[in-house]
Amino acid sequence: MIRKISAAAGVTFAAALALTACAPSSGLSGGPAATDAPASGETFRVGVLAPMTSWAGAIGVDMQQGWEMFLADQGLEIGNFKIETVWEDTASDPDTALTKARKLVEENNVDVVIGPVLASEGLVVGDYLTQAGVVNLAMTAADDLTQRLASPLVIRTGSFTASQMSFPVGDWAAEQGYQTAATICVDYAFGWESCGGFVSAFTAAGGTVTDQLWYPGDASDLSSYVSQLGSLGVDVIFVGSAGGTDSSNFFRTANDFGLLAKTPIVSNCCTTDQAILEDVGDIALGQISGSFYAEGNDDPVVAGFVEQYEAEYGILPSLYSFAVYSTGQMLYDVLANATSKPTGETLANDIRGVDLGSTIIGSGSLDELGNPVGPVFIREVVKRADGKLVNAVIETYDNVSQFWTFDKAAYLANPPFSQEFQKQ
Amino acid sequence: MSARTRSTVKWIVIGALVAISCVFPYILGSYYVSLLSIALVAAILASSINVLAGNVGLVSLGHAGIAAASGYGLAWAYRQGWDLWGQLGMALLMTALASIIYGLISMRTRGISFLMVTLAAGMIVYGMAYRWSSVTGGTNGLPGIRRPPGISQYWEFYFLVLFAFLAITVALVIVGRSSFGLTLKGIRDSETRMVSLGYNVPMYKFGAMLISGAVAGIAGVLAVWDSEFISPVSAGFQESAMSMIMVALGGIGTVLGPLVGAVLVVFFQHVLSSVFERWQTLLGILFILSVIFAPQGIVGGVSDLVRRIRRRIGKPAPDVLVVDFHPTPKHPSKIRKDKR
Amino acid sequence: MNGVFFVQQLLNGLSFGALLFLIASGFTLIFGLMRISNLAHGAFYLVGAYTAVVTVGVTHNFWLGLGAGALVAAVMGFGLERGLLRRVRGREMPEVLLTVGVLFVVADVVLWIFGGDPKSVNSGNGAPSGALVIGDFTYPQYRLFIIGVTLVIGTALFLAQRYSKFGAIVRAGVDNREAASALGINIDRVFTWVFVVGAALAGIAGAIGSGLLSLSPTSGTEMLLYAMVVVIVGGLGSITGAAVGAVLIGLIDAFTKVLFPEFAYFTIFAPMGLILVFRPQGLFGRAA
Repeated sequence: MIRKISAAAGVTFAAALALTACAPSSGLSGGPAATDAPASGETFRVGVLAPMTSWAGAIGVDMQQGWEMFLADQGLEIGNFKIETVWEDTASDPDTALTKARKLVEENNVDVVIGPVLASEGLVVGDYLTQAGVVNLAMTAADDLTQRLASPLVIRTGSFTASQMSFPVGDWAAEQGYQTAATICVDYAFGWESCGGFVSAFTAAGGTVTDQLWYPGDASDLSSYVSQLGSLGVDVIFVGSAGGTDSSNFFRTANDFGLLAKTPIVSNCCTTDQAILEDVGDIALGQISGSFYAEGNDDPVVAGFVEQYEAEYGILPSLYSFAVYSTGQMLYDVLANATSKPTGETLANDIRGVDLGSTIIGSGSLDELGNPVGPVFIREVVKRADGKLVNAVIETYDNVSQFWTFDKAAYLANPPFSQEFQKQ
Repeated sequence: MSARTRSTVKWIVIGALVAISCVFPYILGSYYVSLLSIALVAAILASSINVLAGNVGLVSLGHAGIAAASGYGLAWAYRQGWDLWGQLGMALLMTALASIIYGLISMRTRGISFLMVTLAAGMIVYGMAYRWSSVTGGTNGLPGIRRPPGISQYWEFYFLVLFAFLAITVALVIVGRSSFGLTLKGIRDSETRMVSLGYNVPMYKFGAMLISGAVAGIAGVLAVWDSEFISPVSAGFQESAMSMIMVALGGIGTVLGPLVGAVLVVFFQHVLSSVFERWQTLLGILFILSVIFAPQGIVGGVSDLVRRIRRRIGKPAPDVLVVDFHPTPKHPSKIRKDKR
Repeated sequence: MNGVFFVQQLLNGLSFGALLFLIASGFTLIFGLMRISNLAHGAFYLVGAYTAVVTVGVTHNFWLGLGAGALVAAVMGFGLERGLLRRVRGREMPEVLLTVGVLFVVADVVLWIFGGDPKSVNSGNGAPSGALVIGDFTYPQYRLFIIGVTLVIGTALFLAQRYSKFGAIVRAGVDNREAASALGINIDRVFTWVFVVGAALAGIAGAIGSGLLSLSPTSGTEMLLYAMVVVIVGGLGSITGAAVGAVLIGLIDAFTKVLFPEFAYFTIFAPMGLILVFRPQGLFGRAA
């Protein structure tokens, strides 16, 4: 018995060894093909990685609707190209995101990949696409994607970094005269970066952060944290959550404990997302936050976008619908003027040259690490005439960079934001 | 057909299957070959669960934690700049640590308690991966863990995984047939009887957990090399539950069950998901149906079917292509009618 | 830590513990009396919670929502027991696997119908809301309400199990099924009822919980995990154990978050680990 098995194993091993010496021809697999001669109606294939199922499923749906609306507005033909979209679900999981990225590149031969959204997905997909030579128009807010892990092929068109959106909030808070602050942020990279942005800017503007609370990402019960915050007696509290159930929990618990009435609260981009406002209702009125998107923005371009989306889908567009739309605009800007199909480094360089003023973002440009430099709005939750709660703009910070006013080299030499490292 | 002829046929068929799997990289595109690699790695993890479930009757809902611990060990060592042996050594250390801890907290439990304990253990590993971000990178994970040269190409990696799967399967069959394996089956059938016979049951369970953990550790290393990345999701409940579903669907206690289950689930997860968004519901329903109507899983069910057909045709019940062990005694009150 | 803060944390722990008890009680009841490990328990929670959300959204009445949640979960429990579990009755592994499959399917279906956005039962609508204010001391009334409701339900369960005829019948059925049948008791129907009650309890937990914690399709697995930890600590099959375990974990959770925030995630598992090492059958469980 043992002898038979060993014989079989030996034969298999030998065969496998022999085979490993012969590489398969890459006839059936292949990367995106670049052509030299321009042809009218040449296909430009866009791959999209979005979380359509599992916990971040709502984001994927927003992205899909935003992209649909974009294609309906701008048409499927731009310049010499015909756009084809291949949509894949990442199931809110980085391993699935990677497999789907491989499929998009190796099976569908896409020319560019938009997404993914979640930080864990974004880093691994960006890594893979860089190796595969396909441009990644990223939509995640993970700081390091355009800092310590930056790559020439990865461009963050669909988001600002987490800390970038919080710097102005810290600055604004100091401007209001608040001198002491406490923060409560979700205990993983997104929360560390959000809080880090606030703390760095608030401290740079003269304020002091006395306490920092961190809650686990899957915390069901925030009452201990909220009651702690209530006992601190600071001028202002900063909340950095990733949207979703913990934001709703926070608002409701804070309201129940009387914290909302007692201390001013400012938050990061996602704590006052539309989904949260729908869920918690009027208790969120007056809440201040910072983001590059405000659905209550009365700038005509943005207002027009919001109105159109609402008419089409019955709900207000989220950050993700906005971001995928503006990404599409940047792509079309490049393709409109291209004679031959741009891929790889050429495409990346072209995109980096786009003026964000021609998109719904409003103004700005992309820096050499592939991150947008643009406006961040300080927003306040107000009630519209029809009774819906929206984030309206009360102040605009223009040309905000991912490094705020800090020296870029010094910033990059520091470690990434973490519980221990919060102040630049 | 004599026993020897049947045995030869069996080996020829196995050989043919292996040969076909060696040919895949030459006829399929890179994406499908990488899917097969993923399925094989998943099959290895499922096999590790099968060690406990098939032999001892203990279903673990937290085995992804051991694989992830091993993977993190490898990834961390890679980041420190250690060479390949150092990385593998670290993975081995983490595997041993995790298996020992899992073994210690579970060796005195069984049935539903074992399930809950392993579930909780898996969640603890997940929590550590999530929380200890200075070491594990937190939710962002650790990207950029390059494969060692020699298997950096997708097809080279495929052959490695194929070989690993075959070697592990053979090794586990040997273990299953050894006296250690038979003792485990005795524990599965009646723990109290084994205790009264004087066996140190907890130690045997501990040993089984070590073997199972070792296989899970190998799966963990291969998983990291496949995606060149690791994150806490690899230790999560979803991952453990999917692996368990693979084994159960394929056939607990069977040799090929883990592979069949893994291929099916991976197909659902990565291929079907592109065309049908509710694949999880479909998989869940399929799973429920198999639990009710084919408790031996697909492999066991097919085996059963073949046996029944043979009996109807008049041939005596022979051994079939797959080696199977019945985890639950089948209707001992029914008397088998031999057709003679 | 001053007095007010201490009392607040104490109540935080008790109210969270109360919710944990509601979740765990159904699970331990089904196991204790029927020896079925019902991992679909998380699915009952989900179904109860989402039904409550929808009902309150339409009727603006919290009590209707609570009732609807319990009812729908109970019906689902009935269907599960009669339709599916009965076919694998008596075999532990298939029972467990079946219920895992059900949890899987329900979570995905819920995601499909309701999407991944957080939902909740807005406070008011008939349930106690707002805060209780005594001088410096503020505390949400809804949390106090949860403690109250749980005390009532817990006591009722305990008394019913220990002293009622129905409880005696069920215990008899578990101890010796054939003998109980021989006495003319329709044991199958009794077991179905027990299962339905367990499911209803989970549904109630879901309806009440959704007023406290926001709800999403992953809440099912989360709550199942909590239920399991409580049951491991308290002992499988014991209502008292579930109560003690739940309160213990609730309190440890609340205070660790304040005193040792780095360990916030693990607070749930620490008591479980200790119990497993020193007293594997749980505080009130019977030795295996």
